[in-house]
This record gives sequence, C-alpha cells and structure tokens, in this order.
Amino acid sequence: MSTFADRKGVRRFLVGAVFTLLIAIALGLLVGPTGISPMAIIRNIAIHLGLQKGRIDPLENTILWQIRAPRLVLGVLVGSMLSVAGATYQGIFRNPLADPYVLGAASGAGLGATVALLGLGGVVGANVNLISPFAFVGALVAVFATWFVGGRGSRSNGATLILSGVSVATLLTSAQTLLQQHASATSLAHVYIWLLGSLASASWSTVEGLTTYVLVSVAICMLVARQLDVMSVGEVEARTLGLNVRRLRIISLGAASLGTAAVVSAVGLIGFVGLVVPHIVRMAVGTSYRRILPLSALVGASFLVFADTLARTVLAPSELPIGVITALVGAPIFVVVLRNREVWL
Amino acid sequence: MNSLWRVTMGAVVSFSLIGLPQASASISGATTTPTCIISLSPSATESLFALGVGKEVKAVDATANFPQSQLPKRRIDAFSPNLESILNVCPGEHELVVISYDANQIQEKLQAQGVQVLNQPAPANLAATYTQIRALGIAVRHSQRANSLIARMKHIINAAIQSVPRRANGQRVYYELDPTYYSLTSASFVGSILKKLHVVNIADAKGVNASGGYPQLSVEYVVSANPTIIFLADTICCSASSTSVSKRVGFKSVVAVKRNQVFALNDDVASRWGPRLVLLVQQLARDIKHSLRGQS
Repeated sequence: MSTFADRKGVRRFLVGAVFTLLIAIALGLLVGPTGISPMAIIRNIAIHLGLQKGRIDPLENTILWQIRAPRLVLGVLVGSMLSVAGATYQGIFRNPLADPYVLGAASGAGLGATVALLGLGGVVGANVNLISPFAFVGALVAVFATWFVGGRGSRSNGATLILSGVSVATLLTSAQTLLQQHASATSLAHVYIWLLGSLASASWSTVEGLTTYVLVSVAICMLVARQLDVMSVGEVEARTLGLNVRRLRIISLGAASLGTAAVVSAVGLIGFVGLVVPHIVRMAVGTSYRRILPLSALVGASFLVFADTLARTVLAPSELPIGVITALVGAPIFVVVLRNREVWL
Repeated sequence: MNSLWRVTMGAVVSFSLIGLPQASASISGATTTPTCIISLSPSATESLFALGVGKEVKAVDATANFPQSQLPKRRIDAFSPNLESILNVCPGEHELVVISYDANQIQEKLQAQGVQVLNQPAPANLAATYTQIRALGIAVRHSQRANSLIARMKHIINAAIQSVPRRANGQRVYYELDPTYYSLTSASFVGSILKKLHVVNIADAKGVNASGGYPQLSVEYVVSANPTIIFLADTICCSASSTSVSKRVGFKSVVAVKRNQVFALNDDVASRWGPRLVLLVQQLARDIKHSLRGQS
C-alpha cells in the first residue's frame, strides 16, 4: 500500500527525497579513497565561496573539483535519466518489467561499443575514441528498428513493441557475440568492462555533453505524465477517452530512448536503476505519473550517487563496477516489489 | 601478465569466460616427435618459432601475431576450439596441441583421440616461464635449444634487473593495463618483475592479492598516489599515450607527467611470456633508470 499517497504524504516524500539527495551529494564529496578530512573539504569550499581566506592545496582542489564533483553531477544526471526513462517505459507499456533497455537500447549500444573496441573486419578499424558515438548511434538504431518491426505504433500494441524489442535485442546481442568470437582476450576484457558501466571516466566535459540530452528528455517525459496516467486505464479505453496513443508513444518513447542512448554512450550499461527506482516511488506515492516521474528523478539520482560512492570506496583504492552495486541493492528491492505486486492492480 | 589480468577480471565480474590460471604446465598424450604443431597460445607460438620448429606449426590461435610473416594462415579460436577443426589440420600426422586455456575440455577430448596436448596457462613468475619453455622444448624434442634459449633469456633479464640501482625504490610506479585504471600488483607476473626492479607499485596499497592481483584503481587514488613513473600497456588496444594521459583529469599535477616519465609499452610484448619477455624487462629497466637520471 502507498505510504505517502495523499497530498501531504507526497510533500513529505518530496522533502525526504531532496534531503536524501543532498546527503548523497555531501557524502560523495566528503568520502573517497584519498584521506582528505571533512574539515579540509569544508575549508576548501569556504575559500571558494569567499567565506574564508587561505591557501588551497592544489591536489586537494583537483580531487574535489576535477574528480569527485563531476562524478557526482554525472551520477545525478544518469540516475535521474534512467529512472525517468524506466518509469516512462513502464507507463507507456503498462508493464512493470519494462526498463530503459526494453526497446533494445542496451544491445544496440553494446554492439556499437563492441564495434568501436574490436573493429568490424576491414570496414571499421578499432578505435577506443569512437565508443561513445558508436554506442549512441547503436542504441538509437536499435530503438528505431524495434519501432519499425513492431508496426510503428499504429498497427501494434505495447506487447508487440516489447516483443519486437526482445527480438531486436537478441539479434544485436548475437551480432555482438559473433564479433567477440574473433576478438583477443584483451579486447574482450575491454568490452566486458564497458558493459558493466562506470562513472570513473567522469569529467566536466562529459557532464557538459550529457546535460542537454538529459534535461530535454526528462522535461518531455514529465510533460506527458498526465497522458501516461490516462494510459494506465488501458490502451483501448485511453483511445476512447480521446488520447492519441500513437503520438504519445512517439513522443515519450522518443524522449526516453534519446536520453537513455546518451546516458549509455557516456557511462556504459548500468542495470536495475531504471527498473527498481520507479517501483520504489510507486509503492510510496501511488500510481500517478505526475508524482512518479519527478520523484523518480530525485530518488534515482540519490540511488546512483550512493551506489557510486560505495563503488569507489568499499574496496579503495580499487573500484567495484557500479553495476555490481546497483544489482546487489536492486535485486532484493525488486523481490520486495514483486511480493507487493498488488500495488499494480 | 595481461592474460592473468583478463582472467582475474573475468572472475571478479562473474563472467566465467576463461578459467583461473594454474601455476604449472602440464603435458599429456603421445610421446613421439610431433610433425604437426597447433599452438592455441600466442606466447607458446613465439617460443616455438624461437626453438626453430616454426615450420611444424601448422595452425595458430586467432590472436597470434608474432613472428607475423612466418605464421601459418590457418587460425583456430582458442576460446572456443572445435575438436574437428583441430583434428583436420594434419590428419595422420603426430600432432602436438599447445593450449593456455582448457576451453570446452578440449585437452581431454584431444587426449581421447591420442593427440599430445601441452597445457601452459599464464605463469605467475619468471621461474614458471622458464619451466614452460623447458616443457615446450621437451615436447618438440629440442631440449638443448630450449635450455640455451632459457639461458640467453636469463642472462639478458638478469643483466637488465641488475642494471637498476637499489635507489630506484624511491620511484612510485603506476602500471596501466587499460584506460579505466586497471593495474597490477606485485602478486602478478609483471608486478613480480617490477618488484625485482626495486620500484614501489602503487597498486600494492591494499595488499598484493587485492582483486587477484589485478585491481581497478580509482582515478582519485592514482592522482593522489602521485606516481613518479607511469607505464602504459594499453597503447595498441586503447591508443593510450603520454599526451592522452597528460590530458586526463587531475594528471597535470602528477610527477610522472610533469617530468615526462610516462612510458609507452607494446601491449603484445607486455602480455606474452615467450622469448620477447626480455624486451619488456629491458624496457622497464631502461625507463626506470632514465627516470632516476632525470632526478639526479
């Protein structure tokens, strides 16, 4: 049952989500493999804000503002995007198992990254600098392929699109496997590392490149939240209520897929965030997408920032793949969600 | 070496694509002189050519690339070997198959067909490398050549190691396996060589056995550890260079970058444990000495 379903409860949940995100960001800035004391960090921030005078340690400054800070911002962007995309997919397909990768974006991005890492016979040479653009294009091509195979939304329902997504994903994964079959073990390792996802490559330029995609995609998804609520009564019923289902699909899936493709191309495949976070929010505040989407953005951001802080500190100075953390935390939560599936009914 | 690193990562991320390496080599099958050799280990391929039996090598694995001009055209996938393809390389001849990873229980299947199999997984140290070359020499009936190859390698490697003064222990080394900061500790093959060269390996901070000897370090740690020497073993795979390293976030303040002590290694040489190992040790020693000269 939803604990915060009434208006007052939603407000309480919102305040809690914002507070949690602030704690996640503060913790992410304060904790890391380098032993910088919290007081030194506070002092550094105070000097930057002009509240205190003194000399800033260059190494400390680099670690805080060139390494930790962009990684935190990237975590916020990626966590928000994946969660909003997951919620949007779940809403448009009326399927609790839908996630940002349901239309084949992950497989397309995976194939794109694999081509960049391994090359494609004599046609395309291996070039690690092409991972991001190839993954981005791969994800978008996969989503378009799913859209066309699934009847372009006019002659199909949500289930047809999901099945098309499964088919396209399987096909692309097979192509990826075929490429890997001819690769050296070193190259294979690189592919697997990419597939696991990581925020380790974060820099301000990565953040800069991703921000527009995420903001535009998230904004569009939120603008169609009311229509997603109408969709929840059923596709046929929504049509009889005057909703243009095909247009809604094009707009919402287009925005969610574009954002997902951008995120995946920047950080690789990070699982469970887009699946689990909307469910947590739904359990707390009810089934209205006008609540689920913005709150998912906040909770998703906190979830990923916490996960990344764990990933870079638990085994410091080694890093854990963030996908391992999100799966370790996400899987048990998902089990709880499944046990409480009456929320969906 | 890199193979060990790959294997370890595979285990860490629960991908059982390749199994854990064993310390020693094993030999099985017939005892007659092989007239047809199939090498599914690029390191063993290099050793076989160095032993002068390159002409008998009729097929190699997909990643073999040295000696490039002399390699046979026939390739077999070492990670998913096909029994029929292997048996068809030279039917009727006395075959020797060298593997570094027993994929699909190929060793047992080949033995059941009466084929001689030599399993040479990634070694843990220099002594294990020499043992493998010796075993290879015995298998191809050229023990003398193997012994003299080992003697030459030992001579060059020991000379390189001894040429590095003990004061190198002030040097902090970051050895990069890929641009996502995978590195190696002193428990690894290359790490054990770095240890012999007296330098301090920054990846040892959490213990040499961390992540099976192949930890993924965080960029924050690498920058704060402030290495004085950086070795790049990802120049071919990932286009890493001293220029690309200097452009990474936070690396401008790293001593190795400031003093131009970022050294590019050949990925292949750095990941094979055959005769070209001497080139790796020589380069490591030369670059460490170069860094010491820069300081004095």
